Amino acid sequence: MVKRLGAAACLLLAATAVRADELSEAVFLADLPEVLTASRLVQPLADAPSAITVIDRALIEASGFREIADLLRLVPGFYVGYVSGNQPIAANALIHDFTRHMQVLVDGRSIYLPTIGGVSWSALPLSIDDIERIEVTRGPNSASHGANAFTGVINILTRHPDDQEAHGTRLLAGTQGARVGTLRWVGGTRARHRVTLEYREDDGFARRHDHLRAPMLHYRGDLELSAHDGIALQLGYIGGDRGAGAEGNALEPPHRLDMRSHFQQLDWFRRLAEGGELRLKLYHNLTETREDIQPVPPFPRYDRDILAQRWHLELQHTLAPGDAWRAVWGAALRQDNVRSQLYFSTADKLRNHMHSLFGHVQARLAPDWLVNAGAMLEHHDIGGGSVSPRLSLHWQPLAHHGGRASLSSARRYPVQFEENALSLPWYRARGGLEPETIVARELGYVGAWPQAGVSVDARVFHWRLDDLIDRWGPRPWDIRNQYAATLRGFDMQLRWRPSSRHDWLVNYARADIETDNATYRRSSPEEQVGLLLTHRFADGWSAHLGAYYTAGFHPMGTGSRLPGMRRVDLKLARALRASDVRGDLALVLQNVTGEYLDFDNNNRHPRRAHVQLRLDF
Amino acid sequence: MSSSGSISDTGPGRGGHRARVARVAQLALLALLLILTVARAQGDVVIHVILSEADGAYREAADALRAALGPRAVLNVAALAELPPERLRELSRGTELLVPVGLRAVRALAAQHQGRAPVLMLMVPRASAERVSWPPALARGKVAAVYIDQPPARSLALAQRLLPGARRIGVVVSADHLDGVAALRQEAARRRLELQVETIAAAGDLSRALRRVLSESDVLVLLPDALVVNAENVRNVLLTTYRYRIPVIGFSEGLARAGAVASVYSSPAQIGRQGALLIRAWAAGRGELPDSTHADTFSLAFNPHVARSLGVALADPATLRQELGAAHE
Repeated sequence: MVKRLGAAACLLLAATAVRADELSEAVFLADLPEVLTASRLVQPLADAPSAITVIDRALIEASGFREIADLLRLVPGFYVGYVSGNQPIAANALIHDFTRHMQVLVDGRSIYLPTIGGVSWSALPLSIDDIERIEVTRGPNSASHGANAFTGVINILTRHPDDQEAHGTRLLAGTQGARVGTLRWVGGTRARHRVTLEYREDDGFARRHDHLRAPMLHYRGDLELSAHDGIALQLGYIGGDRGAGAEGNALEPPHRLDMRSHFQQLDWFRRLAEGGELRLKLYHNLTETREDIQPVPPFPRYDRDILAQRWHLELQHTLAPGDAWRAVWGAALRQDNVRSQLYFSTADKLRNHMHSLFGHVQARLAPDWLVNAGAMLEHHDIGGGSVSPRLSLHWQPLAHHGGRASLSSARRYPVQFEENALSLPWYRARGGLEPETIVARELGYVGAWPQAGVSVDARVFHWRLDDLIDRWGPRPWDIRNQYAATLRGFDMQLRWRPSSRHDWLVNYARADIETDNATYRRSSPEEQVGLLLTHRFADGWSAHLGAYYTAGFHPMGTGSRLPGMRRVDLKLARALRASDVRGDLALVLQNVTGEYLDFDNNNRHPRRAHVQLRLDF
Repeated sequence: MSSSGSISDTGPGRGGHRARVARVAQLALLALLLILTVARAQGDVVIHVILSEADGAYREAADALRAALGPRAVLNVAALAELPPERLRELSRGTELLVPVGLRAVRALAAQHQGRAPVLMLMVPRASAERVSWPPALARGKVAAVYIDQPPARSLALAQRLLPGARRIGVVVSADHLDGVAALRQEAARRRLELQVETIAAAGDLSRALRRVLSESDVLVLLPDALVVNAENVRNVLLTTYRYRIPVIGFSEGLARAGAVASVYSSPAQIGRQGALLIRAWAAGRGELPDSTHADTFSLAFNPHVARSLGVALADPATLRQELGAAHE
């Protein structure tokens, strides 16, 4: 009897049970946990204390650029040039071979070189296809990013493995011997992994010894440990060699430079109650170059090898208890090690330690008033201690229109070369440098007309730069804090997406520099214009036009006096769609209007073309 | 009589008065019962409400139904667990209206239904309600439903109103729910919106479908589909959409809390009240239930934090409800 009842109950259950994948009202009534907690949410551009440009995937694709540094042409006021075919630079003021006034981060990891400053873009183990977006702060932001977030911060964010297909491949072939081959694998269930292998080759400029041959490996793994904790691990390696030196340069005749650069980065985060978050970041960068150089006699062989290494540990605590206010505070420790016989006349490693404490608060005082306040306290072995405060006030009287007034300061700390150069007969630095300072006053406007698909960001700025570091006196030069400069300017960005088929970007920037130093006065272009137009046709074809203008100027360092530069790029692409395959085939013509001088008289940027096939499946 | 007596010490005169009052009350009650019985026999409606679960949203819907029908309806509310299959069979042989609330109650009733009593399903997803098989003897007009989901026009109107620049509407559905997409497609065309649809066959396909749809959409409209939105994957869906910076329009209060910019939904009470409208029409008519329907009334839930972060300006909910054609409540 009991058995029969049991069987009947089972039958009844089978008849009435609702399968897990079947739609019942439960999916409507479920009390879901808060997924997009306050700490996960990014600050909208209108609330940000500085002017920010975002280069997203759509712009990256539309631009047709194959070098990461070139993408910064899409930022108002940014100049991108090539010191040599394998040495791009990107900066928005005081243009120099070594762009010392700009912080560059990849997922929060600083790749600013501690030896001589700037960034070695060709030694960055990252494929352009693995970039999700680049957020560029067009001004100082020490309060958030510390030293060297001086005239700007470039923050490159890589794609989450979940956002890419299981397999990816890219083949690129172009003029000037350009070849790129990329293979990508994404997998894992609880932990998501991505491995990217890439090989790049380029002959560089004609009549210059500036080729690049670089194999690269990049790994990113994201693991959710629990509903509250997660870690992300990234590893990267790039090797290969590039051409250096020049004909007629007795000390640096054409030769091969072997490079090796790798990094390891671990991010751990824990979500706290009420939208808070704790984040710990640990990373290590190492970049080493070896040059096998045979100077013209009577000059002897000499050691040009350079090593730069960084260890960095950072803890950050976000509190976001409600709509009214949000706060972040944290601390960081860093050690930079460098070794260069050429720069420092010693085989020893030189070290520089940094420790910092930072905090900022965003408070909504009233529905249409917002204030951001923050400061960074930092101490470096080289340059000592400092405080960099920042304050911005935002008025948002209408839903999509707001104004911003900000006052911020930042420091650019001296690099080892500036403090300790001993490179006779050219340099003998006496040391004792102070950090350079900037005080920025800005008025900005961020607006949008969503109905028309228009967004605008415009600002006027007044930057006062002091204690600028430069060489001093007769040879061997000392290096001292000495110059000051004032930059005044206006820049704006307009993006218009009138329909899903059109995406138009217009950038304009104008800056005037006043300084007691004639070299500095010429070192920033007065005017820059950028244009990127996209048209998508109905049948999978798309056409893109990029046009860029930079007024004549004279970059510092090895740069030459440059006339105005005009450049037009065209890209024609066909989307490839099969059931399980997504891809595109593209033809890119760069600089179609003819060659221009790039950074240096010897660099004639030619017309270039490449075809690219990309398949993801 | 001592004034110091206990309070229970009452005099005999007073006791006689109490007895009289009690008798009158008994008579009055009797008369009232009589009147009620007569009235009921003359036209009161007896409704058997069967709740999938004894309380929560199911109880809310039943309470709203009871309140909206007023005292002339007699509601027998019971949870499915209290009703053995024999009782369901017995009820379904009668002529009184059966109102199962929720899919489990609907299923249980359908399995036992003897083909006579009319059925009004409350708070069930349209796709599931349409798939329930009732005895063939149960004629058209004897089965209807008030769906828990929203008509496509409402979700699209909300998306269009909050994101006036959005032209491409992304949708991910399982193959099971493609029927629902046809209506959405029609509505999108009427509103000059492009619909980007990705279909999935298994939960494992969701990430890929999201990647494809998000890269070509301005907004993602989530449709009720157990394969696409459930307690396990809602986190993944919302985190992915946010990485793409694509706003999500949801269909429940829970989704707005979790991270959808806004949700349009009908609450259990609104569904219960809609049920009352259908029952009145049924009672007034010739015993035919009106066609199945969505609730005329609906609610909006916003996530102001997510909206702000994505640059979406939220309107005043009351004004917005009117603009979306909310019926007067």
